[in-house]
Parts: sequence; structure tokens; C-alpha cells
Amino acid sequence: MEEKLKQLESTFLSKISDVQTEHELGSLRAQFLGKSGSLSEVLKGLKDIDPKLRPVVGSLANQIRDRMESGIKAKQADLESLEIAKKIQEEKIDVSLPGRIRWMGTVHPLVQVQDRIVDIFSRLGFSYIQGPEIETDFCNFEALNIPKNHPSRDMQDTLYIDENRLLRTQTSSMQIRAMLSEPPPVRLVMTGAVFRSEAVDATHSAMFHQLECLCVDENVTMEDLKGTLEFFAREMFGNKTKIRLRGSFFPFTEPSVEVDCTCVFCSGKGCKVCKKSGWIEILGAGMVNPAVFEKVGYPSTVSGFALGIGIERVAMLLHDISDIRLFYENDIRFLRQFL
Amino acid sequence: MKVSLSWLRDYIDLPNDVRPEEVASKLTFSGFEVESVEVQGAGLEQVVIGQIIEKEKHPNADRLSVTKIDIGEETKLNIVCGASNIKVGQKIPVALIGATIPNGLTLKPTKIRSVASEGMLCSLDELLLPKEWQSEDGIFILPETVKVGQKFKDYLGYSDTILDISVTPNRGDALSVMGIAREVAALYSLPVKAKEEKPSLKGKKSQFKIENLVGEEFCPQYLGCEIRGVKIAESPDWLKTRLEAVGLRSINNIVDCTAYIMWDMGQPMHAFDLDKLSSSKVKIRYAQDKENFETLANKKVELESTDLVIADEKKAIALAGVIGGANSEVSDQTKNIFLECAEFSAVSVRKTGRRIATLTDAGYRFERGIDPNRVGIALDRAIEMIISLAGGEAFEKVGFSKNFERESMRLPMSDVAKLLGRGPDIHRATQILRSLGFSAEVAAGEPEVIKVQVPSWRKDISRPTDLIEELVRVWGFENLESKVPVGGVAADEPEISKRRSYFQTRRIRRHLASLGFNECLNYAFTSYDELTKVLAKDELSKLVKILNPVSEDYAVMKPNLLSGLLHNAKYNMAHRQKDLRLFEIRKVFEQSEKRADPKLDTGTKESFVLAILWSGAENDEVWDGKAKQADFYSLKGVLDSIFAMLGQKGVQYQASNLAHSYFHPGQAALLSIGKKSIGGIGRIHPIVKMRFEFESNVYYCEIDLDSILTDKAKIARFKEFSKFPRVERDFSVLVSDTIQADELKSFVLQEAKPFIQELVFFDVYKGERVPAGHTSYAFRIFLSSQENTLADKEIQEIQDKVMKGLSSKYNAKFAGLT
Repeated sequence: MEEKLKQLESTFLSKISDVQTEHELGSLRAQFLGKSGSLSEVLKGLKDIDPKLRPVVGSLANQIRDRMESGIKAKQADLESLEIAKKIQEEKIDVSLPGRIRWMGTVHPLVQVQDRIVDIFSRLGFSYIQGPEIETDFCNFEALNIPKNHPSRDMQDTLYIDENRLLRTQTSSMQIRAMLSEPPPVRLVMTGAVFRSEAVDATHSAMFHQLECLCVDENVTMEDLKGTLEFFAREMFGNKTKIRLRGSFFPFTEPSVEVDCTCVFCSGKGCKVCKKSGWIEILGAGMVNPAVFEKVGYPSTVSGFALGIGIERVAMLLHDISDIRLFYENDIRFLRQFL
Repeated sequence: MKVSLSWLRDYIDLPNDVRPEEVASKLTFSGFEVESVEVQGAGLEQVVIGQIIEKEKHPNADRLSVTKIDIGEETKLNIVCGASNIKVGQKIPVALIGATIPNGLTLKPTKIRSVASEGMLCSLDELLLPKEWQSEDGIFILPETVKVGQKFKDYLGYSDTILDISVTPNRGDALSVMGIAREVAALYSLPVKAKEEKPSLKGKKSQFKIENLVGEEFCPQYLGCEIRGVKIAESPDWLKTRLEAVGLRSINNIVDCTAYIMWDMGQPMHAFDLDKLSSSKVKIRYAQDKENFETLANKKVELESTDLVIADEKKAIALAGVIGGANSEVSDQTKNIFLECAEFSAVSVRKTGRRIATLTDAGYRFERGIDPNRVGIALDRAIEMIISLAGGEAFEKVGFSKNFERESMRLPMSDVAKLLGRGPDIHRATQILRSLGFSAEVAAGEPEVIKVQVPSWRKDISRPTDLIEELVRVWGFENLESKVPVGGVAADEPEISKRRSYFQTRRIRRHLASLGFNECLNYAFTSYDELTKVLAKDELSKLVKILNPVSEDYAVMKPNLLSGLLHNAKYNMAHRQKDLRLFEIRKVFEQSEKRADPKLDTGTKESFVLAILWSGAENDEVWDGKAKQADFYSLKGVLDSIFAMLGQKGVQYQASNLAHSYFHPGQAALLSIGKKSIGGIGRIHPIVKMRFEFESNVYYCEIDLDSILTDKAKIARFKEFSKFPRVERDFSVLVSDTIQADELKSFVLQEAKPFIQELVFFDVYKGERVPAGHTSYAFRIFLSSQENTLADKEIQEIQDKVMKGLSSKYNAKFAGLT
């Protein structure tokens, strides 16, 4: 009996090492450990042997059963890990193939620049406002101290709807509307399209965009304007950017200045973009002319500053674009460059 | 305004070593932008006059000559030359070794085909000189009389520096050499030298009478002088050189004198040929309506009754302040002249000049205002100059003039501080004002107030603020301190603030960009023809038109954004980009009735709209499958995501063949919130598609943003969600085609209240497998309760209610149930 059992185990061991699949393992299990498997068959003979020997043989049989069981378990684990390894091998992919991402769209570069500048002034407490693109002569000119038949009207070639209405030539018209409806103090930033009767070429456009700020209060001085401009230039073009002011003329500000900042490209050393001067003209500004305050009925105790920026100009500088028409052609090969 | 340094030195003793660039920079910073500094003869320093003493054929090249050139030195130069117009004996400009000539070429000793060349004979082209100086091509051949060895620059008389200054429209007083000199003087703290002003000439009594029929407002001053026996001739070289240096053309001694005085002092004047006048009476009158006039530039114009003319008894002889007439022009035969020096109203000069499109130096100055107190002085100087250059006898001046009081003003230093912060002190302020020709002194008994008298030429100064600008621009903006404004901002957004809606717009832009859309920006105007391509007649009735468009292409304000985006699509398709996702956000325009207040009402409705265009693939084509084509629902999904993002519930899509004529009638919907229409969505009409020659279908929507954005604060409120499990039930129903999906959906949502959370369609079928005129919808509902786990019985009840309702209301058939 003992012999038979040992024989059985060695047969089992040799067979289990040949097992390749779970199925084979199942049959092997049935063959040896099943109800009518070999081990049961052998143990049927147990009743025929000497009762004294029975415990010994029985315990041996149990040991062999346990060993077989654990052999099968181990084999099963082996097979499982083999199976997973095989699957893993099969599931290998080429990670270099492109991802299934949607194509990325873009916000128009002019809008991006505009938003950036609005954010800078928002940090200084400027509220965002809007106004009409078709304007009255009063808001666009008269109230901004640009009377009819005055040469300062020549500074802007105007597109008219009729004698009294026009396409706004400057975002400053919004200043008038704002001050007429809001008492001081005000701190406003406004943006939008403006229009000129100009033939379109690489540097001229019949429509372009401006951003304008207005700050009015009781103690606003030109020092505030200068500080605001410096803050803007640093935020926009980097910490080391410096500015300088040059005298100029706008009918609605007095004093008026043109503002240059150190060249974005050469940091003021002088290059092609700044025509070797190290400086680039970036915006116009000034202290609000008292004549404007009179038109909108502000008290004479207030003072204020205004500044105006050409969005196209800043965008062209920032992105090294030399033809303004690109902004309005909407070629997606152009637009997609401004993710 | 061009000014030469030598002319400027008539008025100020600028140090000899002052660099023109420095003068330019100072002027620029003080508000007179110098656009260019032209050093005459720059690049000609090492160009001398040489004479060709030998010329032979180049041994190794047929087209070249080898010349020997005398430049007035012992050693003669060997120069190889390729030009064919040179002969022995000719005098020519020679660029020496080391020279960098105006065209940028630097000369080095060189060998040309193994023959040494020690310089270059120059053409006009190479020296960037006017081509008109010589008719033939090749080397510039000089007159025989010139001196060999002389510097070419000296021969040309080039020694001056010319500043081209941009004068802002408020500073008419600076449109003269004298005016610019006053500025430079202030910037260098130098005095302005007064030109000798001789006492008024006392000539013979004149027969001339001046009659002013337009009143003082339009012609405050008019002086004239007859000068008899002048001899018309060329102007002397010094005068020609001065005029030409600043870009004026020399005509003859009389005309040049008037031009010279105008440039020098800013006072326009005009000389008439006295013998061409019909009378010795000159009138300043209004033109007759439709009166004909020919300007001395030989332009024939028709006048209006508001134009001011100078006239004799019979005819108009000049347009006052604008231009003289051809009928009284000074010519070579002129013997006697009538010289006019006057002041005309800026507005009338401007109106007439603009209307007849004649912009003259005189008109330019009258428009910007002349110095009213120097009209007589200018005339005296002109008379003196004419007599010295052309001879003749001047008669007594006739006409009327007056002196204007200088305006007085008080400038408290507290006003200066209020505008500038820490500006110049009272001492410096007084000094600056004086240097600009103001009289300024500290007011008696008021140590912090300056009493100022404004000079007659500064018409731009009308309030103390104007004086403060004078102070700061001369003092220097660099001296201003800087600080960032703090305080003064209301805690709340002002009422007019659009900050919130602006940020929502920004979110929409970003959102669309992440969905793959490219934002476009188009002009606000287009051509009428363009609009007729996409709009029906009745849609064109409220267009806002531009009175004076740049061109017909930009003549009408856009009533929608379609034509722009269609063009963008077409443009990109032409560049082989077939899958297009575009959007644009901007204003559109239509006429509105209201114009109560002409100061503020624009009579135009401006709406802020969002337009989206989609054509081609829905997704990018990838390596494991073909991309699906975008359709109506692709675009609708995008819109829905925007509405969801903005918390905008209740947007209705209503199938409508009336949506817009540019939509496919079977694939278009009107969008509305409640009763308010907010836009449309659909497939572009096959006819429009054909007109634009699109290959694939184009889907488009346009939404009125003002209807969906808000400037009120919106804060999301948390809603308790059910803690109990959610169950799903699927339905498959067959209904008539007349029943639309959203109708079914809202019915089921109503029936299954309050347990229904959501309804999702997962299949829609129409075709052979269902009866004709029917559609099969498969949808799934999600149920849960706030109070308990729904029992099977409860679920069954809901299910039964839904099915019963559907079959009784819509006669729905149920295909199966899971």
C-alpha cells in the first residue's frame, strides 16, 4: 500500500511538471485527487490492510494528498503568472504613436494681448467698461475738446455715418459716456475696435484696437500717471523695463505725453526693431484736460489721468509680427501659433 | 516743418559745437518730435573733384577703361571705370580710398582684373543725388569751370543740417523758423535775437482802397502795399539755398520773398500782379454761389457763398488765406505788384481749403493761427526784402490792422502741485515761462502765485493747466517722481462695469479654444454685395451705411458675422485646410429708431454676438480610424456646453425654416429663452454653399451674447443629492415623426417626477425596420429618491405610469423593455 502511494506521488510529480495549461491542471487534479481519482482508488484498499498499520498509511496518504494539493496550487499560480506575462506581452503598444487628443484651438492673439493688459490694470483697481462703436460727434470729438473745424480733427481721418454720427476713432469716447453716468472717483479700463479712413497696408488698418485707462479723483497727479505707466511696462514687458515720457499733444489731455519703453528685443542696447535707439514708442497718455471735465460736469476739484494703447502695436512688438493685415486674414496657420 | 540749423542761428547763438542730434533730442522730449536730422553732404566728405587726364582700354576687359585722374595733387590716381560716358578732360566727382559714400559703399584699394584701382568715379545714383541733374546715365560730368581738387560737398554748397520737425496742431506758432528758435532758446536757456525791425516805411500815398465786406470775425486784419517798378529775376543763391534746404521751390525773387518771410516768421502773404487787377480797390467778400475760380495751381473750382475771396471790382483774385488766382499771378513780365499780408479766420480757411482739396503752406498756418501782432511787421520786412532784391518803389501801406491785448493769467503754485506732484519750484517756473516769451513774475503779496502774460502768438494757452504743460515739458518729464495710485476706488464695482460679462466672454473664448475652435477677427464693415450673397432682401433693410467709406468693400456695417466667417473658411480651404472650426465674438449693427438726444443716442442697435462655424471633421483624423464629419448636433453640443457653463437653463431650440434665409430650411433652429429670441443655428443653405464653392457642409450659429451674459454676481448653490442608490430603466418607443425628441423628454420628465434625475437618448432610428412615418427612440431614465432606496414596486409603478402616459398621449408603441 505504501509502495502504491509513493508510486502514485512520483507519477503525479512527473505529470505535473509537464502540465502547460489550466485545463491540463484541472484534469490532472481530477485524475489524482478527484472522487474517483487515483488517490481515492488506492485508499479504497485501506480497509483491506492490517488495522494497526492503517493510521500510518492513512497519515501518509493525507500527507501525499496535501503535497499534491499544494503542488497543484503552486502550479496554478505559476500558470497564472505565465498567463499574465503572456497577456502583457501581447498588449504591448507603441507609446510613440500620437495621443488621441482633439486639436487645440486658439484665442485670437489681439484678444490675448488685450486680456493681458486688462488684467494688469485690474490689479490696480480699474473696472472694465464698454461703449458703442458707432458714436456721436459729441462723445468722440466735441466733449474731448476737439471742436468742429479744428485742425486737431486732422489727426484722425474719420468714417462718418452722417453729419453727426461716426465710427469712433478712439476708445476715449467711452471716457465721456462713463463720466456722464458715473460720478467721481472713477478708475476705468476700456477696450475695443476703433476706425479710421485709411487705406490698408502692412502698417495701417481701417479698423484696429485700442485700450484706454481713465483715473479721476481728488488728488491724482502726473506722478500717479508715471507710476502707473512704469507698473504697466514692467508687468507687460518684464521687470527691467524702463519708460520715458516725451511731450506731445492730445486735445483731451494737458499735459500730454508719448511714452517709450526700453526695447523689448535688445533691452535698450539698440537693435533693428528700435532703430538702434534702444526705445520703442508704446502709448500716449496725459492729464485729463479741464475742458473735458467741464463737458461732463465734473467738479473743478478733481484731476485725473488717461492713457491709450494700440493693441495691434503691442501684439506686433511682442510676437515679432511686421504686417498688421495678418491679424485680420484669419489664416489658421497664423492663428494656431498663439496657443 | 523743416528748419536748417544755419537759419536757426539767425535767431539764437547756439554754441558751435552743439550736436544737431542733441538739439533734435531736446526738441523731441519737449513735444516737438524731430522726425529726421539730415546732415547735408553726409558721405561726401571724401569725395573730391577730379579731372580725367588719360583714358585707355583695360588690357583684360573690353568694357572697362583705365583712367589717370588729377585731383589737384602731385600723384595722379589710377582708377578703373566701367562707365561709357567719360572722356579725357572731363571733370567728375572722385571717391577716394577710405570713403564711405552715400549708397553705403566703402572704398578700399583693389585690383580689377589685375589692374590696380585707387578710387572710384561716381554717378549721381551712387551719391544718392537727384537723377534730374543729368540726363544721361553713367558718371556725373561736372561743368568745365569747377576747380580740380575742391571738395565735392563744398562745390554743392552742402554744409547745413536740416531738422524735420513734426509740429502738433495746437502749435501753429511754431510753424516758422522763429517759432522753433523760441523753443530751442527755452531748452538751452538762451535769448532769442530780435531781427531788426525798421520803423514802418513812409512811401508815397497809395490810391488803393481796401473794403472788408465780411466783418472782423472773418478778416480781422488786412494790410496791403503797392510796389511799382520791380524787376522779376531769379533769386540770389543764398535765398535759393535756404529755401531749397527746407524743401521749398524757388520761383522768382518776388514769390521767394513772400515764401521766405512766411517760413521765417510764420506769416503767409501773397503778391498780385497789380496790372492784372481791374481796379485799385480790393474787397474781401463772400464768393457768389457757383462763382468760378482758377487757382494759380491751375485748378478750376466752383465756389460757395460761404467761401471768402479777395476780389477787385470785377473778379475774385484769390481765395482768402488759401491760394491766389491764376488771373492775377506774378509772372516774368510783372512790373508792379500788390502785396497782401492779412489775418483770416481759421475756420473759413479750413473749410474752403478742405472742400476744394487745396492744402497750402499758407492755409496750414492760418488754420493753426498766426501771430496777430506781427502782421504789420511781416509786411514791412517783406517790402524791404523785395525792394532790395527786385528794386521798385513801395507806396504807403493801406488797409486795417490792430494790436491784440495779451491775456493775463494767474498761476498758483498749488495748481502746479495738484497736477504734477513735485514739479519745478516757483523760481524755475518763472524762468521757464520767461524763456518761452511769456512775461512772468511773482504776484505782489502772493509769494506762491505767478502772474503771467501770454504772448500774442500762443493761442493755445487759455488756462493755467496749459501753462503747467509748458513748465513740465521744458523742466523735463524725467524729473517727475512716480507712484502708483492707491485709494479712491469704490469697494463695489461701479454700475457701468462690464467686468463680469467680460470675464464670462473670456471663459467662452477659452472654452471654444479648448474644443478646437480658432478665434477670428474681421472688420466691422463689408460690402453691400457681400451681404446680398447671404441675406434675403428684407434682412437688408436696417443696414447702417458709411457715408465716406475707404472703399465699397468697407461700406456697410455688418448685421451679422456670417459673411466674415464664411470668407475665413473659404480662405483657409483655399490654403488646403479642410477641417475648420472658427468663431468670432464682436458687435453687429442695425438701425434703430430712437434718437432723442443727439449728443448721446447713436440711432444704432449694437449687439454683441458669438458666431461659430464648423465644417469638415468632427474630430481629428487619427491613426486608428476615420474621423466623423461634423453635423448639426456637433455644433449644437458645443452651444449646449456654453449654455451649461453659464448656468443658462431653458434655452429652446425650435425647428424653423424661418430662422434665417442662409440656413438649410430642414436643418435650422431658432434659439430662444422664454419668448426672447437669442439666435439661430443650422446648416448653411445649399445655395449659399454653392455661391461660396464649399465642398463640404458648413454649420453655423450666431448667438446674442447680451442675452446670455450677466453683470450680476452669480454664485452656485449646493443642492443635496440623494444618498440612496440610483436605478436605471431603458425604454424603446415607436412614435409618429410629428413627435419631437424634446417633447417626449419633457413629457417623461413630468410623468416620472419627483424620482427622475435624468433622461438620456441612446438610440434614434428611422428607416426600413420601423413603419413609415415613425421614429423609434430608445432612452434611459435614472431614478432615485431623497428618502429611501426605491422598492421594486415603486419602480414598477413609475415605469407603468410613463408607458401608459406615452401610449395614451402619443400613441406610442413599445418595442421591448429591459
